[in-house]
Amino acid sequence: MSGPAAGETATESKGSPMTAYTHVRTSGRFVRGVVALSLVAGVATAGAGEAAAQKKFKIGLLAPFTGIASHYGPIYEKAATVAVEKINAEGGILGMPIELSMEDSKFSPAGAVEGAKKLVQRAKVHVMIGTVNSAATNAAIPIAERGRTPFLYTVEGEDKGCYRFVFGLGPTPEQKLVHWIPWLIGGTGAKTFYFVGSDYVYPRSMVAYAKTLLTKGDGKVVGEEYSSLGTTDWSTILTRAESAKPDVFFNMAVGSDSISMNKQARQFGFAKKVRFAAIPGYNSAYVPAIHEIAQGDHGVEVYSELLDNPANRDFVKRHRDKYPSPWPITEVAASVYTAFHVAKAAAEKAKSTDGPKIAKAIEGLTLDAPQGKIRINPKTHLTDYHVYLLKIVGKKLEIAKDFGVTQAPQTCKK
Amino acid sequence: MEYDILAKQVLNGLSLVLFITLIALGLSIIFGMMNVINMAHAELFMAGAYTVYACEQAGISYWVALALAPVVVGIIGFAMERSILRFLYVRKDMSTLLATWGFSILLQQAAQLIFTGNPRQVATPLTGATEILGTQYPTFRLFVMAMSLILIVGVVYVFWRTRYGVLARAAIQNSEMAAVLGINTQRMYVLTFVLGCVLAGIAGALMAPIITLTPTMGVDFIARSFFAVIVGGMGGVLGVVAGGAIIGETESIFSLVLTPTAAQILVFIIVIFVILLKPDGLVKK
Repeated sequence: MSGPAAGETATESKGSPMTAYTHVRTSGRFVRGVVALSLVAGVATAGAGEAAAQKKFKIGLLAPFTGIASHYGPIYEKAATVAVEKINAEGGILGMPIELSMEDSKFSPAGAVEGAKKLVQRAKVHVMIGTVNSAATNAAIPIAERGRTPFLYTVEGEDKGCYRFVFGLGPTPEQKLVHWIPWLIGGTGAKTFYFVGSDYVYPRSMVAYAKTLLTKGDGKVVGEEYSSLGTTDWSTILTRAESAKPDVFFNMAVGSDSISMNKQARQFGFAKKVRFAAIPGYNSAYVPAIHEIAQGDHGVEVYSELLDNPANRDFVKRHRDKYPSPWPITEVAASVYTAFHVAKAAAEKAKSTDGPKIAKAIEGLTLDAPQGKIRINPKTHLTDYHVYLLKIVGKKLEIAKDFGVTQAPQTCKK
Repeated sequence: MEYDILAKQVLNGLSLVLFITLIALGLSIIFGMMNVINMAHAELFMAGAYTVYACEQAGISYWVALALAPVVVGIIGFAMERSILRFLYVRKDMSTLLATWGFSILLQQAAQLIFTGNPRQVATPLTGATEILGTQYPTFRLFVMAMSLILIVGVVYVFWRTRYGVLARAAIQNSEMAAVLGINTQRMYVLTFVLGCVLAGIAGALMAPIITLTPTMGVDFIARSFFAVIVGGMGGVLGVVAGGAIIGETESIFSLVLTPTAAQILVFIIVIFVILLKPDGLVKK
């Protein structure tokens, strides 16, 4: 799994039979089925011919609408709807309005395969956008590759490897940690770090990477622990961590586990003595659940609703007008919105709806996106983003620092 | 090892034992007396927790919510029993298990609809720490432990010392004979089912300020309680206490010495061995 946010738990866990139980009970029960939403509002511009007006540019959205991370579905659906309405109002893609098809990935590999097949093989979408967890992304990748359909996955995650049609529109944890750890050491004077994560590949690989950054700086690891997904009681780990007296307690648990740990650490009172950091636990998606206990703490993201650039002002206004909410617009919502604009820019650059031509055009593409200027790295197929230090203030994430444009590490060996 | 950590860890272990036992009690009572494996127990726990959340949103204090939660969950339990379950006892097959499983899906989806899948949390009503065993321990956790202990002792008392308890145990041991002797078993069934549900609801309300609320939250908590029932022995109230103690203490002690993941594996090994060697559990009915 890659970069999950709140609520994410079991699917990939092989470690805990308890979470396996969760999975068995929640998956595959509620088939949401196909939600085909045709947004034909603001059809093609007058200049487009009769034939073009009838043709559609088909984009598929694959997101978890059911299962344990079902709260992601609406985030994706809203961001996609805002993007489609905007692009269609401005003439669509190549003069064709976007036709959006949505499928449920169910947060599981099997669900993702089924959904991706429906989008790529049956609906024959020109571009596919979506998926949250790496397990689902990895399951959908072969279908996109075989169908020669560009696939833009949107959540923070580790590199998925080299593929011709697959692009990572979310940040990688490395892009964040490469600034975060040195900032904690240099900016706050922290020396000792205690890492606690959920017990699977994503937190473990993040800790491994963080440790390489610590040895480069002046930091030291005084503790490293993992607990299986679905951990509700963190008292033992917190007791042990407290006795190690770290300067920084780095929470790398995911979903509700992360929130429980965050909360219990405060109840045990030891968070007062240490600086608290969390990934993904301090992502914007977690703010509604943690803002009361995490006031003044810092997180790192590639997007903030408060960024002052024309693309973001427009995005925020459209999103807020259509879906009023007191909570921050999330990093992943911005990634989804940007993915639609990447699809448009690439198709128009290629002047084609042909998958291989669009994929080629995405490589090296630059865009003034809500996140700032972005570039899709032609080699890694990952996105170079501005990385920001954000501070939790009230219900908002204030921008404390811009670390500048940051490349995702080149790990794709081709 | 420092004394402070040891003292805290003793309390951590004790709190886990009490939480597990409290949740397992409801399961065990319902199973022991009615032979119903209540698959919706996790969701009743969740319903208790969300009652507290809903009250907090409405500006109602935690203490009122704590009193309301068992009422709300008791009503849900009553509705479950009267609408469907009472027609299924006579079948003596898997149908009650399937029916309660159906209710668990229903309740989970209802929570999803009302509260969405986004994780929620409720404020801790008692902040700060209290000195106990020579160490500082979160006051609210101590409160939850004390409440759990009172409830467990209360249930044990009800089953061993009251008329209801005698009748209930009669029905546990032989429901046909109890019916022949003039015990209104239908009434005992409703009472017992609702009592089991209420215990889950109180547990959920007590735990709400400590854990994260999601519609699937109960599942992570309930598995250990099922183990406690299996290890302790189906149906016996004291068995559940013993089972809860073994599961909770094993996990807690070995989490400190080994890793939490290894401690969980050890718990599973114990459960497997108990099932192999003592299929009826450690404590006989």
